[in-house]
Amino acid sequence: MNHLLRFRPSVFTACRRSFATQQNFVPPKSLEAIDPSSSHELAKPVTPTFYTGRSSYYESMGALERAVQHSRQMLTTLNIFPLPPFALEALPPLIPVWKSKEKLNSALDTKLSATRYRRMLALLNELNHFRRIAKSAGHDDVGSVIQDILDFFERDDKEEHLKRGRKKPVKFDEYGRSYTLGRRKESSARVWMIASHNPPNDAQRNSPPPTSQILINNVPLNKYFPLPGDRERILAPFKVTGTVGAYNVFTLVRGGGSTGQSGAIAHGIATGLAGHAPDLESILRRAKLTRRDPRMVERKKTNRAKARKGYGWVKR
Amino acid sequence: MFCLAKRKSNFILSIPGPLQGTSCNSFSSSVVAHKHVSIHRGKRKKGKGKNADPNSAPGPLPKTPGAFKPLPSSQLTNPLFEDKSDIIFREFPPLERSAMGQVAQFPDTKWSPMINFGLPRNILVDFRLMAKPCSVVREDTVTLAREMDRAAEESSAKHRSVLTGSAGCGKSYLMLQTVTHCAKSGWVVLYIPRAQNFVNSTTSYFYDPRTQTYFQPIAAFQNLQRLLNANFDTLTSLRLQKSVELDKRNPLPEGISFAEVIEIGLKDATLAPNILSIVLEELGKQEQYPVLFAVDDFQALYCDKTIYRDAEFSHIRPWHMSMPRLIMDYASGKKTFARGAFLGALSCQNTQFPLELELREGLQLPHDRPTSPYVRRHPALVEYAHGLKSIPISEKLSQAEATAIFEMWMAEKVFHSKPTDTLFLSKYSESCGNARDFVRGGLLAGLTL
Repeated sequence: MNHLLRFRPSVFTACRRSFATQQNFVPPKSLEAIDPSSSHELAKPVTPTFYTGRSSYYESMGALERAVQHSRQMLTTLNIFPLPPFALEALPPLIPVWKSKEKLNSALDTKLSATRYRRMLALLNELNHFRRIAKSAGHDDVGSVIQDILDFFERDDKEEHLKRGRKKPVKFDEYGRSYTLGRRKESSARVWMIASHNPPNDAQRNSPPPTSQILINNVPLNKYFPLPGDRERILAPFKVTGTVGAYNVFTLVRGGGSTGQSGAIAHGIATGLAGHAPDLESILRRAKLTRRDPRMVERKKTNRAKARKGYGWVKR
Repeated sequence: MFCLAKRKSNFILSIPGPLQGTSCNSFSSSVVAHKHVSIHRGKRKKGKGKNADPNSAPGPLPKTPGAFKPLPSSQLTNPLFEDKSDIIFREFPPLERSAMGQVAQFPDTKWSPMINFGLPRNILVDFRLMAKPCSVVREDTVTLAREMDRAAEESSAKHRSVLTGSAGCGKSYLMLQTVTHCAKSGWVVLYIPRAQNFVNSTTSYFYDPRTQTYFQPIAAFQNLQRLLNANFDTLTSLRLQKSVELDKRNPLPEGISFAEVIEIGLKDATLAPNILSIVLEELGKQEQYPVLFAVDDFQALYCDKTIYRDAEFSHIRPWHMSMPRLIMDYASGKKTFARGAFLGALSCQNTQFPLELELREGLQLPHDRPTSPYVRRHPALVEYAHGLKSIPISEKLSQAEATAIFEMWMAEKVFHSKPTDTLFLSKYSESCGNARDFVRGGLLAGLTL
């Protein structure tokens, strides 16, 4: 039945010829005058590096090498290159913060191998050196031109990267509370501190001295730590600096045992105290209270009963 | 080696008559007299090596006097033991607002409850460290003293209260101060410092078919003796209004003094429980003197089962023992004093006798664990705990009180370095104002100064 349906008699199809393609064929030459983009002439590549297969890499390398060349020429003209050894030593230190290989791959839209990345970094470091010389010699215009080229290759988070390892200042909220972290062994403590007294005025001259309230996981200090040694460890930063009773403390502590938790809280308190009163930081540092105690439980080793203890010698 | 036998009675006996000297360390010897102590004899020292003679008899046994026996004051030549004349203590003052924050010395006169009735263990340990037994008058002391002054005019049914609060807040000390104040004010005082001794099977007991309870003769005898010693003049002046029947004895004639009634009980210990209840009943009827019945370690009496065993080896209930029964009768208001009060104090020290649910609910204290209406509450205990009023002690020492305590211990020279404000503030902060943590856990236990 189907073959009958295929050959439907129709007035329109009576005089049509059947082709493999659906469209009507038009010779391209006759279309050139109407639509120039339909010409099939071979398009020229934008740059010659198209034929290298790694166009963007070689483009960048070419640009950098030309920049190096021009910068060297410029600095030589300005008589600040090459510098004598004493001048080179006097230059400010270079702290390059280049993009990582992965970031550069995405920036250049190519996949760099390790060697190619290294070569690129070598050129960047040389340019950076020229920029440093130009800036130090006072030729800011030259330096800024080189900087514009280098900006593309530097990390986005350059400022934060340079701040790594440096102590961040303690932050205070709108009520004047500091928030610090303390750690010891396996414990970590989050410590909030606020001054416990108001500034003295005449009406309060005969009032008793202020006292600290210390809450740990919302439990008072004497209930949370029954051992006097733990309690003393927590108040040690205040005792050493003579600020007992000056600050109220609220902490959330987790992990470890009583010694670890009390040590973590003391560390957090010391850091917070240094934030509230920066003059006291040197005292706390000398008392080794701001240092995160690096001692951790030593692992057990093979052929030993414990970390250090050996097995007893047996004659047979 | 010195050790106390566990099953023997280790209560404190009072010593009638004048005290043995008044020097600083003689206080301990006059108060404490441990009885029935078994002493492990030390190793006999023989000669060794060349001097050893195996045939010789062993040398004389070294005397082991015990851990806390004090030296006589004449042998204390070290300057550390010199007379602490710079300690200025007030004698036990009238408990007014003006006395707040002051150090008050407990009197050691013949009417003093401390001397006659003994002390709870924690207070005794503290007093052994002190030259003179003293404490600080707190705001709660003054409040309770006023309460007692009001109770002096009213029946004890309206004044049945229990001191409550967290561990180490000062309940036992407050009770001792109140008892001393009442004794000084002319009350008849019966103070029981360690009520757990009535339920921990340390005294003898026998079944009495008439009352269907177990009598504790030695305990009753001891308390009769103490009651007599502490209130001798008062009890001599009071007389029986009517003759009282005694089981299997001649009735007590009308007109004899209470002291003579007590003497009858002291002659025969088996009569002591009866005599004690009769004396308390008669004291309850008279209206000349108010009576204070003070019991420390109160929650021990409200245990579900005492350690005592009956003939079937099952635990005896506390209301079946004579002494706890007597105390609980007065605590619940079944027996009353015409003038006076009943005062109890909880203690958190002994975990063998914790605060039970019935007493906790009777005092309307918050629960420490999840509970429901389906948890069993013994009806007898619920009834005996009914109507008790809780007097919560303030959890924190005020700064003035803490300062007074600090200066008291400073005068006792217990600190190994010069005491400073930093020490005071740091210990006060560490203890969060808790009295025991401040003194025992802070000042006396501090590792750094």
